[in-house]
Amino acid sequence: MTKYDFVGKDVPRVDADVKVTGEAMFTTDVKLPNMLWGRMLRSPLPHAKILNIDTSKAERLNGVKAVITGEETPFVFGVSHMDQTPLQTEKVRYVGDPVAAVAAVNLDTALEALDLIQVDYEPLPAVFDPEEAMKEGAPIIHEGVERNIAANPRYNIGDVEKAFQNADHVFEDCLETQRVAHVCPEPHNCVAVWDQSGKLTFYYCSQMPSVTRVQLSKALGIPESKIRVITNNVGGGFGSRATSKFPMDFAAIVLARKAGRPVRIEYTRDEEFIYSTFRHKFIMTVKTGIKNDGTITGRHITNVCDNGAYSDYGPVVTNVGGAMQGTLYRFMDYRYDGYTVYTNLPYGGAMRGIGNPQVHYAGETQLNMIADRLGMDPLELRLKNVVRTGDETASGAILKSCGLAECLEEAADKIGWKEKRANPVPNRGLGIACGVHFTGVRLSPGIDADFAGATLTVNDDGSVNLATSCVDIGSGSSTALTQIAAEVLGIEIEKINTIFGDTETCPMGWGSRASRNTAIGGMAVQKAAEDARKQILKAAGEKLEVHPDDLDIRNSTVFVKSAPGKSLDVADVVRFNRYRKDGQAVMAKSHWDAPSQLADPVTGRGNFSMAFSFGAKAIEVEVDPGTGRIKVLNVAASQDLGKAINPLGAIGQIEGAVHMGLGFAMSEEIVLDDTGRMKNNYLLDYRVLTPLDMPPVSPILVETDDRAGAFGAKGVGEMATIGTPDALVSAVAGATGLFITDLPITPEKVLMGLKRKESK
Amino acid sequence: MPIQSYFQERWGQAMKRKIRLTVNNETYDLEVENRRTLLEVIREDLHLLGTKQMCNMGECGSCTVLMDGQAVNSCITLAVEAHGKKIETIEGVARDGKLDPIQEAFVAKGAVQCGYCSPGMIMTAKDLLAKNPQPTEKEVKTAIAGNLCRCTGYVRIVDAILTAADTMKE
Amino acid sequence: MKEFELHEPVSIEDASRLLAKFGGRGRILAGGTDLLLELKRGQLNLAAVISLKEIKGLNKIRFTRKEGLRIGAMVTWSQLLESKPVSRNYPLLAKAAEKMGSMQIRNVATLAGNLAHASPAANGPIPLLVYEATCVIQGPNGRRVIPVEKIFGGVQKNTLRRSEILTEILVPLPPAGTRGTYYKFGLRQAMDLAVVGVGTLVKTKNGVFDEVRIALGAVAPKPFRVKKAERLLKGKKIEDRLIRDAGETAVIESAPITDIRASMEYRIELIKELIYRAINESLP
Repeated sequence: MTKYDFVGKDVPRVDADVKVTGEAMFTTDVKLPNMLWGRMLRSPLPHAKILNIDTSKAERLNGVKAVITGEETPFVFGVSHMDQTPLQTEKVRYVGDPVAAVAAVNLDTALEALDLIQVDYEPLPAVFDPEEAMKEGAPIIHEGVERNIAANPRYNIGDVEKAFQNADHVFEDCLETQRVAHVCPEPHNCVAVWDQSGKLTFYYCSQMPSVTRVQLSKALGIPESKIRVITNNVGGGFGSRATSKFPMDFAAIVLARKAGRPVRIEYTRDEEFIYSTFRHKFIMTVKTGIKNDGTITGRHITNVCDNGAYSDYGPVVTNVGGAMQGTLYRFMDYRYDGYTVYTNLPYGGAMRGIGNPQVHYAGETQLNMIADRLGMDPLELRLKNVVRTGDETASGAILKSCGLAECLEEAADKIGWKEKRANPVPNRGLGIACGVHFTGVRLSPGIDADFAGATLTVNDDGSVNLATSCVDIGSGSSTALTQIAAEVLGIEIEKINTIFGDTETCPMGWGSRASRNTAIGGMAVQKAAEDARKQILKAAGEKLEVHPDDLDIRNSTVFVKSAPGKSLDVADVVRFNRYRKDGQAVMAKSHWDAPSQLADPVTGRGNFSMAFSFGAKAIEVEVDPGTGRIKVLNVAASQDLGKAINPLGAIGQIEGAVHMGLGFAMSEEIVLDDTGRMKNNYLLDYRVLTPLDMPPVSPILVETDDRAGAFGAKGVGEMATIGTPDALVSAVAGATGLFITDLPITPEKVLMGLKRKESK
Repeated sequence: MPIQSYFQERWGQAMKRKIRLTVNNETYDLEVENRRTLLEVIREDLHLLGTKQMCNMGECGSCTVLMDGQAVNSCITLAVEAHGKKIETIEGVARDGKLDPIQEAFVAKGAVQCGYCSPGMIMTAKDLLAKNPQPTEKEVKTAIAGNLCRCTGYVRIVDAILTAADTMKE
Repeated sequence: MKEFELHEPVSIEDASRLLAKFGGRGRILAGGTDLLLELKRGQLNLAAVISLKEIKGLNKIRFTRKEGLRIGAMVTWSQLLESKPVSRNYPLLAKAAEKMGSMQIRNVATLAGNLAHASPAANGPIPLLVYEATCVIQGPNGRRVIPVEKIFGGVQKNTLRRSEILTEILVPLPPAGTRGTYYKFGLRQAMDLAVVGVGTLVKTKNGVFDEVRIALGAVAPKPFRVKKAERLLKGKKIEDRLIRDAGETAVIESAPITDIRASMEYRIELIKELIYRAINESLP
């Protein structure tokens, strides 16, 4: 076991000091001189032609500096399908679809101006259910998109029908998951400002500022060199600020140009719930063939993704769920039919796990139901079928490291699986589920890249400036990257200044999504640090007149391995290197592409991620049969994360993910009325669990030997979100004898389910 | 016409009220409209940006400040209500460049992830520990129930507050 | 929010006069936690906000064994939680205070405001109903005292006449030998409105129900005492079947609705179960 100075230690977050004093700047704190307040006018109708927009009264209002409509925002954008424009000109497709925007001297005036804009609509028939939307004769939401199917990601591997024939039992079950919101603490907001040279500076809470720049450049038709994106600290992302662009972004940019002043647009909390995307609702059918000995012979999953009005991440989300179900168990006959379907509703997007948690929920819950039906132990059933190290899975993933079985055993052990199941207590139950997620991913057809960048300079005094493409959205990436740099360079953490977020000073990368920062961002940092280390050792070797191979660096001291007394401060080496004839700086750069492959366009199979994280959740509950209230007694959350660069950080991520997972399972739901307006877009009735609702959580870090990512690290944040509702539903079934699968499982659903069972 | 002029015409009143706010032991003489919230005045007039706005409806606690030692949601407190009261914001917690024990514990115990809820959380913790220096875990959870965190699941935050309580005991 | 005048009268009479002056466009400001939300949501168009903060004596809790508790209009939930007379003698009120909102809300929100806001799911009414509290109301025609249930007029409607102000809540000591229970059944353990709220106060004598008081909230437009269920139990022998019947009877007196938090059917089940449990818990 290698002993490290910094990697693997509970180093306190490098940004915590400024966050606990309130000094840390977020995009909501950006104030520029002469800044105006922007607001968007949103459609009150779910599907309608725009006949006329009259902004004249709004323009005349004292204090209004610019008013725009879709005529001034003819930009096309999207994530994989470019099907969206910021402000609509032809028709609106959901309640909330923006049609105009104003910028005024204060928010009151902007709101007053919106009331003065007159829009004439001609309502069109609307469709709110994806299965209805796919039928012949349904209203078409986007021209030319037949049956409203935006995407149809499919996997057809092996022969699933044969697998069903070979099975002793074939089960088919329908399972759905509900829409849930990210609830990012910092609302979506941006400030746009142009200068005389035609340069746009765009302050935005982005998870990937360099990608934001590329997208803006493409959409606006101006060179990237004329766009500067600045991201400060980000108050949570969870996928809502990844590749998605928002009408608000373009509205602010165009208003700023028209007004000649900076424009801020900021979502109110009720907008943030529903217009910043959310986890898609999936309607799934799972068909599984299984032998009497517990071997799963094959699986066929159909998934109808209720996308909402614009595709955004929908196609990717639908695809990911499919790919991952071919990466968990050893069956090689697998079919997935995914449909990303337009509906006249607000649209979903990427949310922590991007489609994986939902499809896992269906697969794992069905597996628990099957175990129940066949009288099998759900843990044993899984251990019999899970993928293992060295496997090439149905989806084509090659598992260089896989701690899935160990995760299951650890979680089960922690919860007391065997003893408690042998000695059942009335009204108590146990549930278990497992999952897999990727570390960075190549699942967007045609985009054969998954990279991160880092640039590193060692200063005259031996301190380090490290610029990364990874944005720390709260996950602790800056800290982990600093630890990696410190470890490689032999320079202390406090001396390293890690920055991100400014496209003028930081390298390009896919940013913070797909759980890639530590492993992939870390490799870019590691490579840059290795390069810088070589430069230091070379210069030190010259000064000390030894071969660089005889040197090592620790605590900012370069020393001769065989004669540690012979040493130099890193600072001295840097200065020696720089201040001489033909001197050199110690500067390094790295652009690191993860060794993953795009899927084969014909089979759909591929080793689409460089490493896979695995995990298991085991939950014990007690149900009150008189009220239906579920008391979660314990959650054991085990995770194979390769190497824990910062164990306390990983534990914090897992605990937060369990909180989100329990909310998904028990209390959170976006409730829409019959036109798609969100009814509960306020925190009283969109129930994020409070500290008093949180059960004891036992995170278990499982380390495996992976060689792909920095120091063997694999992704954490998304895998940790998988499996909680699956295990919870199963635990409630253990306690009540009822599989209540309609998420969120509220006390009402439990009690009414029990009453119905009683009356039979 | 803008709202302000409309009101002036209808009610014929001078719309701004003079108030004196004492924030972090500094005195500010301000003229504010009655409808301005304390959160707005703190952020926009006093330029103290540490106090955050997350929901603006008194449901999330990120705007928590201490008013005469009591944690309040500044987004549903009128600025004029704060006249004559002692206000403390997150900026006033660290003294002479040194973090206070609650802040230190938050840093050391992994209680800070994105950091957006941290100022409000810390102010709430200050009220709790001033009134109840040795709280139980349940009492800590009850005290911070009005502070929403989406990153941590609250586990490390509760740990940090209990740690701070122990430190402050010595 | 639209701008409004702010007045800080130093007497109840002045406050009352101001309410009369502004008609329906003036409102009292106590803690402000409900008022400010209504203003922010644009549900109110006010000309004036009349603050009670400068009126002396309103933020006091007074207690004597003879008179019981006197809670001024500006007394906050935090004050109730910190009050020894409350925790010693009125445990249901203390529990309701504990379950109220968040610490930030409890620090400024008032019990009086909770009653005046008249939300059917409010915490305050339940213990006050079983303790048979009364409300002191002052207005241009002087002072009147009404039983607490009379202050509720309907969903978010109180029975105060224009320019009347709820100035004090009087809570007599519960009869000796009574035990009580308060349940706020919500979908979360904090920061939630009750789906069903139950309060009971019970005294038994020789295995017989002597005094029975039951209050329900969140299951009708107003919180109320469940008189039929009380009558069913009073004077009868304590029997499990009887207590179950009381729960069933309570359903008849309720008018639960289906809303975003729960369905009518679920509330009906909860009424039955929670009343059964609350009575049982109030037994010696």
